[in-house]
Amino acid sequence: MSNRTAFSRLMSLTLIALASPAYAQPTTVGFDQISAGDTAWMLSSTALVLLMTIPGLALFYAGMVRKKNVLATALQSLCICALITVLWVFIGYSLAFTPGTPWIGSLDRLLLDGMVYIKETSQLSVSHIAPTIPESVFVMFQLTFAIITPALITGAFAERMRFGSLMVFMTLWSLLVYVPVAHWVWEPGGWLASLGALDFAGGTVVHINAGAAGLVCAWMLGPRAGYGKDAFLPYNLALTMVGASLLWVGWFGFNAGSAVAADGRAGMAMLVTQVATATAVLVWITVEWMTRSRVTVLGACSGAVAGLVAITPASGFVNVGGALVIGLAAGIACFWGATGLKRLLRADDSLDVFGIHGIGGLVGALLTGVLADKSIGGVSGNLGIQAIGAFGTLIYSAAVSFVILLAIRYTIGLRVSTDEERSGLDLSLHSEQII
Amino acid sequence: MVYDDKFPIAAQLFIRLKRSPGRVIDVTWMLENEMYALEVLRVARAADAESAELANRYEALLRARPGKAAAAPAAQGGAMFARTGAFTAAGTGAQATSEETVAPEVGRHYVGALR
Repeated sequence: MSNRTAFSRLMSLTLIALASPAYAQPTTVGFDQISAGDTAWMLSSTALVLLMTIPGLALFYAGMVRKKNVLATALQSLCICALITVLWVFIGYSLAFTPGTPWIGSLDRLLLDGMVYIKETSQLSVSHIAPTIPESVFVMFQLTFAIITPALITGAFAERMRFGSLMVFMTLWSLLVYVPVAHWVWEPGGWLASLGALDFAGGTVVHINAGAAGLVCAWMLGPRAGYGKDAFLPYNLALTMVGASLLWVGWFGFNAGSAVAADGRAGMAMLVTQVATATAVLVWITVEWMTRSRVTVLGACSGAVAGLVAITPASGFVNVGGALVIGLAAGIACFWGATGLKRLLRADDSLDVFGIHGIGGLVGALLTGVLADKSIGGVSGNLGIQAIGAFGTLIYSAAVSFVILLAIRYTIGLRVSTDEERSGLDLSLHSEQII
Repeated sequence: MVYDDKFPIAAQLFIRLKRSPGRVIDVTWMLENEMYALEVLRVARAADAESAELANRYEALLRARPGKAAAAPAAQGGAMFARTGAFTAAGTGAQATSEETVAPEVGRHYVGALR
């Protein structure tokens, strides 16, 4: 599809959406229309994806910060989980997963209006996106994605952001960035979905989105005191390894669950996820050994996350060969992202959110356009459209994050005081401490 | 002599204060007497940023375990300084923070970069 055709199609979609308000209520079906197998798998996947944030990401990040900030860092993931859950049922799900316009969904499903489970008549509601599982399961599954995306950003401004400001930022970011981008990509009427952009499990919606926001956060908050001069020793890389392992296992729910069915495509997604991740670990530690004559725990964990991130958009579209290529590219690109590029960008992206999630997401999104196998996903990739989706999301996320952060900076402030930063966030913000 | 986790910080304060404003402090008395310790911390905060950070860490330990300054379990052996001048807790048995226990080459690795 040429760029001109794509633009025309986009404009047509907008006009249609504006002319005819979409019907946003879910379909109600009988219990017998629900697939027990699909439902069982999606329930399991949902739990796996939630496990990625709490405790997976919380441990992964907590192990990498200094001892005085461990509790604050872990707490951020837990509180974001609670915050986004409430936002999601109030308004987030409605705006993300109802037809509305190509840019944003409708407000017809506030407080999950229309979601029913009626035992007496044996009926329940289903989403038009996932007709074989109860809507309650689909809401929960998508919620876990909405939770982990902002939680990923916390790694970029670790050890220096005020807790209240963080909660305000996450509220606004979730509603103004995550929700629209999820709608663009995953709601069939979203403008990127209509263009044919492929993102099976969230390489663009989750990782490019979080990576771009993380980079802007790192710039806006400025470097930590002593950055570049003092050694910022990770508290406990064993925690990081446990966290990375939980992420790895939980990612099967993330990717294979995104098939929204217990079928062969979910099986393929699981297989290519494992293959790409393993490849990226081997590539990362090889590069590390070649450049530094050492293989490190943090390097192996980083390689795993890089591979997981990069295969995410491709997981329902590529075969095993494609997974090997993506794992190879992710290992090299993300190693550079977390080292060479990080130095070029001159931002204290504390835990390399952009270097791994941003770069890994871009690699995955672009390679999906090259490696998508029509026999698996039923569609072929298009590099140009993938680039529009990836860079469009990157620019939107960065721009809106910048505006939100600017507003917070000039109202309640972004950063803790110098004394609070020196004492550590555990003690200064939460009056708790690891002894 | 009784050591606890405040000892390494007090020792670093001893060195820094002796170098910069030229003040000599009594490390042992600092561990035993909280009033004296607080006065040392006041002097440290006025000295320079690094000393102020050490003072903050010391005060955090004071707050965390009030009244236990001299009651920490005795450690075997003495604290020692590595050739680089950085404090190491090897052989002290004291629960030092990660900043103190790290080998110099590991510390260098984490200056300005995590990975």
